[in-house]
Amino acid sequence: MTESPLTESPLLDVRNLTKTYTRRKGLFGKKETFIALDDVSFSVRAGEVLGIVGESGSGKSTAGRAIVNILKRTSGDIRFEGADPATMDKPALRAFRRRVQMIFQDPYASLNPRMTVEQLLRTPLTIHNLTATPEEDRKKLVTALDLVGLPETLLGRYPHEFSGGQRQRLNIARALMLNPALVVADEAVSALDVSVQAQVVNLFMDLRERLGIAIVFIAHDLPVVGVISDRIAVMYRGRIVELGETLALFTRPRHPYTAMLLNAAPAPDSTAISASGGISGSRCTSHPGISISGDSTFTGGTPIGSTPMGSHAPGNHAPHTGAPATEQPPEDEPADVTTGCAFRPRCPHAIAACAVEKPPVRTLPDGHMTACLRDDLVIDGPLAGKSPAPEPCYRERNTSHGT
Amino acid sequence: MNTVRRLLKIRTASAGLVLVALLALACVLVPPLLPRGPLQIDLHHRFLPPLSGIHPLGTDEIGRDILARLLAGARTSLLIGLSAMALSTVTGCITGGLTGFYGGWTRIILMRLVDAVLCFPTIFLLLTLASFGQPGAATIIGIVSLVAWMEVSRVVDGQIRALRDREFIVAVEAMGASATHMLLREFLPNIAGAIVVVSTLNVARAILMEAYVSYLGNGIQPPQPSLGNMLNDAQEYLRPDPWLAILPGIVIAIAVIGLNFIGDGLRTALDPRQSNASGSRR
Repeated sequence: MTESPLTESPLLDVRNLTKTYTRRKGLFGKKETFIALDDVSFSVRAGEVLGIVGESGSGKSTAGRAIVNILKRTSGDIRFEGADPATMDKPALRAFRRRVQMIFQDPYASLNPRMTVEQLLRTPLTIHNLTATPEEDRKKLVTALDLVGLPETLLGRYPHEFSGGQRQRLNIARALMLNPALVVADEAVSALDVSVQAQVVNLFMDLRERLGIAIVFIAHDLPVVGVISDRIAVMYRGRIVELGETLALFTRPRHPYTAMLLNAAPAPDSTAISASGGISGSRCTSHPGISISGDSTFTGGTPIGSTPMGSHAPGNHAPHTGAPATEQPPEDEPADVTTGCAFRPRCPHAIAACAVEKPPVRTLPDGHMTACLRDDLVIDGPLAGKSPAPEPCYRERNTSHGT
Repeated sequence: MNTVRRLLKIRTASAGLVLVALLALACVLVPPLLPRGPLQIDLHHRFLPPLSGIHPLGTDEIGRDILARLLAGARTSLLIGLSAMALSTVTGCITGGLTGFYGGWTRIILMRLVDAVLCFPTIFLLLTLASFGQPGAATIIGIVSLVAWMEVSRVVDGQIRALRDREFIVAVEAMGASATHMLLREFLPNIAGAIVVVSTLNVARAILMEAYVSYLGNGIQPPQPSLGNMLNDAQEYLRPDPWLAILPGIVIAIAVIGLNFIGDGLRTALDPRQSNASGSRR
């Protein structure tokens, strides 16, 4: 269960990935550099689900786009099955494009409005010259539709005739046409209604189990990511601040930012966690950094599987469900922290040293990685004390399927 | 399908379609029925007014049948308009497609070139170019498309740039689609509407330009009739025999107005915001 990228060659290996954008202020102005990704490293094994969480602007989508090589990176190394897509020759790149698929956030925008379902699903086959006889192609289309739970009667329809969830299923079906080894799902469920989110997440879990596809699941909603991921990388301001097994991360987050995210959202197992599951010592909830602002929409709050949440009425969670901490940094935060730890201004545990040095990523004995200088923190996550195995029951809740 | 139905609901557009269709049909069907050809001279019957005997629209200064000449001229005009449109649309789509898709230096150079050409007043550009070539239909088609492709190019460039970062385009790009595939299969169906609109309006413009050039003597050469050179011939007799000028003018107006109506109608019909437009527009 522990991460061992050295002994077992991973499907995808990302090392020191950096992406900066430079912009000139005015015609002759100074150049401005924005660091979207700062020295990001992680790996994904075959069949594994890696979750990437972070608020908007944390670089998680940039990372996703860099993985599928539609974004030119500034520096760093991405190896898929041992080869770097940026230096691949044409045939190898084509193979890469077949093996790695991406699913986008907006199911409304990611399907060509002028194409029928059949044309949309045939496109990947056309692009990769995989077309066979019309009957065989059709069989493939129907299989893909079947995998995502859509009937073949929809083949002649246009995207605008579908609901958001159905469109995302179509996107997934299209990605499956090429039998990928890795799917990068960039905020794939974020635009969907909460109940539909649960269905689509279930679909992803289902596909992973049935087809052994590895998934990089990018989202801003930690509970959603927690349901599906084997491991989770938490990003903040372009850096990975914590990376570890889902269970370990939910039980004992090592980075104060992770703790803040965990606390900002209602806990997976609702019994009394949001009330008590704070950070021992100074609790996150008392910190102004996650003070709840007005826009408590559904952006990141409620966990998927909107099944009964124990005896808690939704209202009880209200202060914790609005997701400003996951989507938008609070207003009172300084826009740029150029030295030291970027999270320092919001961190309840910041010490003087945090302002001096950018905390390096430490790998703990159990394989967990964190970029926090404080190694003396003991933070209880929502699953602390819920052992032995809270995770399976968490998953059980989401096994019902629907369309 | 939907677009056609919406187009027909717009009254001006239907009127435009009827006008242009009638004109085109007349050009094809009527000439064989006429007793005299467009070039046949009859010095005994000069300057006959309309509705006289076998000449329904009268005769000109050397007794040629005006109806026959009008229809022959209109046919030439329509052919020139359509060919120039085809040529400028293809050129514009290719250049606009490349600049919109690739951006960067390609775009900067090509689009500044377009800007530069657009700076000249069309009519002077047209006449200067015409003075270089042998007068004739082919030359006119060439020079008219030479001054008309920029507009198509700009439209295509803009449309493609607007779609370039849309997720469905990025999605097929991430899937490994080639530039050709993306341009032809993904972009083109989505921008075809805009291209059709500009092209229709370009046919009308090309007809007008042909008339300018022929009127000023650099276009279709006598004795071959064209709407432009018929107007030119008519100048001398404007006072005693005004129909010589009025009739070609009417035909030009029918063609240009009809095509403009169709173009405007298409613009409205293809606008996605009009998808549930009420039937009684305009």
